[in-house]
Amino acid sequence: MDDTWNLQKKIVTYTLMVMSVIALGALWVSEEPKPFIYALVFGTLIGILNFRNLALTLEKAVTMDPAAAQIYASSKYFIRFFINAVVIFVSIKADYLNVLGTVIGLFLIKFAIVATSLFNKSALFKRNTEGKEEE
Amino acid sequence: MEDANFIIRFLNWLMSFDRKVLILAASAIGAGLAMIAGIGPGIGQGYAAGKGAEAVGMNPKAGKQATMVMLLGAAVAETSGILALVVALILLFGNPIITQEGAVLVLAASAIGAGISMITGVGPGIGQGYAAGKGAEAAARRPQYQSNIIRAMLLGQAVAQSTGIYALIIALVLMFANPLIKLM
Repeated sequence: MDDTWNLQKKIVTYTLMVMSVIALGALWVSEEPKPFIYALVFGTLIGILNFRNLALTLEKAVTMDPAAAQIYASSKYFIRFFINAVVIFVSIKADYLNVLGTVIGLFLIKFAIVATSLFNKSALFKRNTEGKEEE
Repeated sequence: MEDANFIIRFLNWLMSFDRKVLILAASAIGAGLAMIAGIGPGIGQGYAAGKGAEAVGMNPKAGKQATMVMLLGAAVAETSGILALVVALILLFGNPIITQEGAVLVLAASAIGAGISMITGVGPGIGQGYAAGKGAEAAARRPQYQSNIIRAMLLGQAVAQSTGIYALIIALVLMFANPLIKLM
């Protein structure tokens, strides 16, 4: 159980770091940064919770029969989809939240996943070294 | 004679409505069409989970690696659904077209066009889920190459996402900076 906990912690840490950098950038650039920062934090936290929900879903799905796992994962996806819809709806309706901030927040975790895995120099170096050793 | 032509009769009937009503109706159709993109990640994630279950069944010792690869892949596969949601909810609750100047038919068609363009999200959603499933399968076969598998999978998913982002750009252009109005 919770096989992917360390990976989740790493991804969430990177996401929070990127969120802090963007929030500081907004403080620096914008004259009225509050709605953007509130929305960014709101979107990021929902993104993190959705990621945690996805992790729990998949950890359970791998113990199931493949056909049942498909249905289970798809049904859970549509629940997260609905949650995202509510979050974006609230940020459109609420004056104190900036929609752009919420959308960026929801996408931050995906950005963190791609950035940590694709642009990780130490991993790239390790892979190149491994290749040379094998030769 | 013109009255006999169905298309002209239909357009005349459309023009009998108020400008605002026509744009709002078109936006409702556009929002509904945009939401079709939500199917893509659903199918993709379901496929990935099924493949993950198969992979763990095939090699239970590599279950942790397969689940990690699938988690990363499935998280990225959700992106298209969120993009579609953004466009649909902007059309419904923050409609920018209603305040724009120009021919009402062009504006209404742009609202529907923005929704249709977001259907593209079905492709990346299914494709990325497929990649996540195959990544989990590969990690179960060769758990020692897990980091390489993750990198290859995410690279493929990032490229697959590009068509979804093009669709979003077209939808946003149609909604916020419609070039067709300036051509009239």
